[in-house]
Amino acid sequence: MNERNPSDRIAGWALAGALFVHLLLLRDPAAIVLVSYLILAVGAVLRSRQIFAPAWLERSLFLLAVLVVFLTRRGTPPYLLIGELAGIVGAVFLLRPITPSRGLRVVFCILAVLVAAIIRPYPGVGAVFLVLDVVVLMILTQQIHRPPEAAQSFWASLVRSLRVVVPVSIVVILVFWLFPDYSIQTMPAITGFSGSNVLDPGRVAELSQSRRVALVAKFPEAEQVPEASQLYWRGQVLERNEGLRWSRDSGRRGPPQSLETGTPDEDVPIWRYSQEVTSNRGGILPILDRVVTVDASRGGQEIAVLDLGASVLTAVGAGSLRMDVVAAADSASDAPAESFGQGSLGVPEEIGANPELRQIAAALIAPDSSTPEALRAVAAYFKENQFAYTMRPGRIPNVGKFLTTIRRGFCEHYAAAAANLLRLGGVPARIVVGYRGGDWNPWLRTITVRDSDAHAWVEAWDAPSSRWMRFDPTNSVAPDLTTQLENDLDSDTWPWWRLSAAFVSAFFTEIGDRTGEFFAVVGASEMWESLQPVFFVGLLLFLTAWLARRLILRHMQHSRDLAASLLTDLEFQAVRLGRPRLDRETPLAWLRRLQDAASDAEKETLDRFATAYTTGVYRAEGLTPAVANELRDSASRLKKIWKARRRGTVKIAS
Amino acid sequence: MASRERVYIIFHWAGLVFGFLILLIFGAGYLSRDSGALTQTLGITLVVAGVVALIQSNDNLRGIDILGCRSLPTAAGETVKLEVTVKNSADRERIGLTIRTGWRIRPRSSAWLPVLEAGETATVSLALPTARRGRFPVPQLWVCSVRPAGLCFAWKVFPQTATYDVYPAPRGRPLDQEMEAGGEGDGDRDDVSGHRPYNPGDMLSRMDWRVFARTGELLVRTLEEGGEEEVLLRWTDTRFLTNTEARLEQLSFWMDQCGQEGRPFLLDLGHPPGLSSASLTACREALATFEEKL
Repeated sequence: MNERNPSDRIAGWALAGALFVHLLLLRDPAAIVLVSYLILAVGAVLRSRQIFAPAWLERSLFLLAVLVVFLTRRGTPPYLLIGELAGIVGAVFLLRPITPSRGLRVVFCILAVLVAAIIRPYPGVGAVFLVLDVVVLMILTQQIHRPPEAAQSFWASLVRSLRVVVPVSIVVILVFWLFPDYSIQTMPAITGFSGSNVLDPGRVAELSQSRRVALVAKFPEAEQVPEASQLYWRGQVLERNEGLRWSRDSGRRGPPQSLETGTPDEDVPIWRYSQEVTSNRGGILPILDRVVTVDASRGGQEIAVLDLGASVLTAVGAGSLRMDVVAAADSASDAPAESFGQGSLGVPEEIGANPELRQIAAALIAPDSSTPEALRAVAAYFKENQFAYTMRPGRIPNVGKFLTTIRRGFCEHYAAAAANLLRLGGVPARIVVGYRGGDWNPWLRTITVRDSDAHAWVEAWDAPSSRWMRFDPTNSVAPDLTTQLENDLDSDTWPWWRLSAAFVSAFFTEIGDRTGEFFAVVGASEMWESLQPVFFVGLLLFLTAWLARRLILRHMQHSRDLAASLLTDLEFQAVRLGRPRLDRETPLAWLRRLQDAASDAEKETLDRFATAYTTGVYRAEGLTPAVANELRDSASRLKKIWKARRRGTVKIAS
Repeated sequence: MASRERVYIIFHWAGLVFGFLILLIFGAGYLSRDSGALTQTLGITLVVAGVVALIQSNDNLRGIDILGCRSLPTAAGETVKLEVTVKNSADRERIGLTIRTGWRIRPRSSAWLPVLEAGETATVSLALPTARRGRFPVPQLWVCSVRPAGLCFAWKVFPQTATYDVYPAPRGRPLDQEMEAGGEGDGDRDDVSGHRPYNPGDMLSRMDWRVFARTGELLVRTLEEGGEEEVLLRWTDTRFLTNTEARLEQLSFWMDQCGQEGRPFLLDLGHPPGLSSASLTACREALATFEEKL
């Protein structure tokens, strides 16, 4: 048993490759997924030698896979179970030769794996990948079903598929455009952890894999844009200290209140900008530190913005928002209340009782040190003690191990460690989570912030100024990040391709915006109401004309078919009479030859048919109903004559 | 015959599974807060893919036409080989076509046409089982396909006006035992007019073995023009049988025997219109459509 056709072999390899790629999307190191890889590898080795598993082995493996998955993976989310099962079943299918139906089953398994991969909280693929993936799978499916006799090149099949895929996609996009409620663009995309009340170890690392847009801020021409060191989009403030894990002390702040803004000092820079915020998990509005005023709207309706305390904002209702913001470059001024659950100096037992950590804190922060001095000391400690920045630090059990042994981590580790050191040194500190930086577009004057820009930093209370001072310990260990942010904001240093990409993006966004504005203006105008019936009638007329043209063409095609089929019918009858149409003999030549050997009645009928055929097929007037009737009538008479003649060749012996 | 471009499409089993999968995806997207947009995007894209498959299935049958079909008379009990001529008048090739009879899930007969290039005409054979003699209408023919994506089953219907003939199964006694009474059919008394060299395909019974024994040369006896070598197969000669069908089978047997031995024959079906013919096909048609006049 083997795959006789080269196309089947190619399809087998292509399906195995596709399944392998989709299993990678699961990003799950579960043993069952590794088993799928193993079966795929075995299948690949066997396939290269054109050896295939018997049917009984395939069935046994199916049974075993179902049992193993459901017995060993209890408690696993159903979507993961389906993905794992589909992966292993697809791999087992590939142990046997590829046939059209088997290939289709593998494609279904791949789709199931894809669903399992995207239904998880932070999928590794986006909408563009999905659409392209479906197109590729569709082309693969067509190749699988193409008979070997009708083999064609990959590019030919691709082009032919695109002939249909592209128009249908355009129709789908038009539908989305006409019915925006069903549009994938307006579906709420949940982003970020800016609203989360907890900062767990690894949360930022997980979030950094997502490229979803959290917010887009647009700065008017006349307004200044913040510098890289000021681009901190404030999200949630966390005060409850559990070492590496920090959470919000919701009991301290009380219910949300209306936003009460303090007037900033005159020398503090003010930023005025508008931003669109995608809905996020807790409804917290990430906003440039520190907010002064906010006007928010959703779908044209004004929305009330509430203050959760510590300049943490939330909005009424769920969903994305458009906001006009005035923000100041100074920091929050809410006092570090003693009524905190632990107090703003609280540290967990394991840290407070750790003599090594107490010793480090005491060495860094003297009892009479000011807050800026303490912050500088902590920054210097990270800088001078071989701390390294990495998104893959491995397992970090607690702050003590991180500060004394591991010394490798990312923003949330450094924020947690710095806040603990400050608290041990007697400086009230808390952690802020949100975003830092963003993609600057100089033409649109927008900053696009994504989930991958998620960040955590520290705020330390400065009693003399009665303000919280922002302190980002990550800057001490990753100065490159700061430099990169500065470069990102300075478009003069960009390479040409980056400028071009930004320009193209700006160009199409501008066109889209202007088109939208145009239709909004037109749709709202009185003129549109009077023009609407005209457009409607025009569209109706156009569709009627198009339909009529199609019907006429179809009728003409049908007529041509009629002449050809009547001729073919006569040819079959003539064969029985022993007077077939010869190879390369034109219909009219054949009819003339028949006339030469025909009786008078037959000759006349043949002449009628030939004349009608000439008119209907070759003349400009085409096959009019009268000519068609003449053709039918003469053909029918001819058949009767020939039938009688055929009987005549059979002698009547009576 | 002209056929209107009417293509019918239903979902194949794979299409039903595909549809179910899309429903599951939408359901999962509805239940999942995290990836609702992505799953709905995937679902909508798959719906588009399904629509594309539907359109392509429809396209794969457009321009396909059955020009006609024909068959030679066949003995009852054997299978009729129905030759069907299929034409692709579209400007692109058509793949994976099945020509079959009727709507049954398991058709009585089907033929596989892997590819039909643009403008090409092909002839396929359908095997129709036969049980009794007669003239039967060719059943409605379908051209169907699950290509190119395997998700949809599309078909076009071609009603047929043609007929096929089934003549009686050749059964009975050999000719020479019964034809002595016929008088005219005696192959041994052919008037030999001369000899000609042996050509491949010549009947061995016409070989002149005496000349061969004498000279070693292979010569065939030629018969005199207008000689009485024709065997007359008469309806009345089958009177030793009482059943009409048995008598027709006997005549069919004799015709076959004559054909095998290369002996020309005349068929006389007795009562008006009695028939005789040098054409085997015409005689078989006569046997197939014979109706005894009482």
